Amino acid sequence: METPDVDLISKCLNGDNDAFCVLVTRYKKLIYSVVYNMINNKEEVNDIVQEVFIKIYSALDKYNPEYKFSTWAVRIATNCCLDYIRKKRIDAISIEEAIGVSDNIDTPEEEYIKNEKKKRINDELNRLPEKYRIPLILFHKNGLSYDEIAQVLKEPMSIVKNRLYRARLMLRESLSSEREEGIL
Amino acid sequence: MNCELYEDSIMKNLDGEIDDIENNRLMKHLSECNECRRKLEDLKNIMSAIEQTDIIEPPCDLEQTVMEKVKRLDIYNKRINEKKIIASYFIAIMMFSAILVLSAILFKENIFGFMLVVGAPKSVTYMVYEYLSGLDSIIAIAVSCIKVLKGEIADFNYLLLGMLAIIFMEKVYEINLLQRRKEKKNIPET
Repeated sequence: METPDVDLISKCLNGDNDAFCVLVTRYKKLIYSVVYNMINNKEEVNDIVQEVFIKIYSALDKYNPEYKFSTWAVRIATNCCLDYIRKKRIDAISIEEAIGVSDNIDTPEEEYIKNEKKKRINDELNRLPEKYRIPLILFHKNGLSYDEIAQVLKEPMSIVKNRLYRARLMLRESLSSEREEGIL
Repeated sequence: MNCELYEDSIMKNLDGEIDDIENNRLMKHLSECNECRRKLEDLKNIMSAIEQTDIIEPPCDLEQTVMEKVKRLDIYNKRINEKKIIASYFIAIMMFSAILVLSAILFKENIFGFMLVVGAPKSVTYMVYEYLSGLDSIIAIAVSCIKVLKGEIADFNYLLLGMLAIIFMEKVYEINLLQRRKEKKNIPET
């Protein structure tokens, strides 16, 4: 049976560093995907993910077991990304990168259109103000629930919902020209 | 047509959190309102494109890289060792003070004589002697109590002194051991 997160944390606090390795293995995909979706720069993602895990390790003694470890870890990852974004303006994902990782079921032309559409949407998503962009990414890209997003952002659920609704409408508004061009 | 009333229902529909009654009302409105129908379609279209996230795998050596940094930091082991060292120092100092006080009590007459010979102020000399005599009386009362409880214990003061000296030496050894370990860890690996 899988050792509960709380037991692993308590082992870490008692000096057992190997217990932290289990936590890294357990949550690396989640943290990597959160950081990747927020930063969109593969070269920087690795460094930031490592920094996130070091921050998690350093703050283990402040972890409150009332919350899920994953939610707490995502909060640290989100804050880390926001700090990074504030320091450096991030460019949207490059088209080469987007094409490189997609599936190969469509014809090259269809695939190009699909990737172009995805790129334009991601570009507009990256232009949204932080307070609207982050809930949208956490909900739609990382699959977090409203409750989890509220815990991550330390905001009431009503505000999270309002921002998410507003973000969707802002994104639709900013993509209105694409709709007219028939890309959407 | 008051479309604003249906904005919340459109969002709930997108989230899949809409109940049947509200959904039926929304569907009825959508059949009559092109603008709201287009809005829901657009939003579904955009959100599904956003949700098509690329399959990304973290690098295989992520754990290794993170754990190398973690082992270099080793915060919690260091904290545990620091706490142990502080506790050991505290106990050692307490034991050392107790040994000093007990020795002073045992040799209070000698200390009194020495202070008079050296020429220390008489008031201070008598105050020290009275203080040590007071402590001696307290220990004598404690010894009497123990004697009543457990029978006679010969040379209780010497026994107590011996025990304190052993604890003091043990703590000094522990501090040395912990510091040696700490120094060993601080030596960078080649």
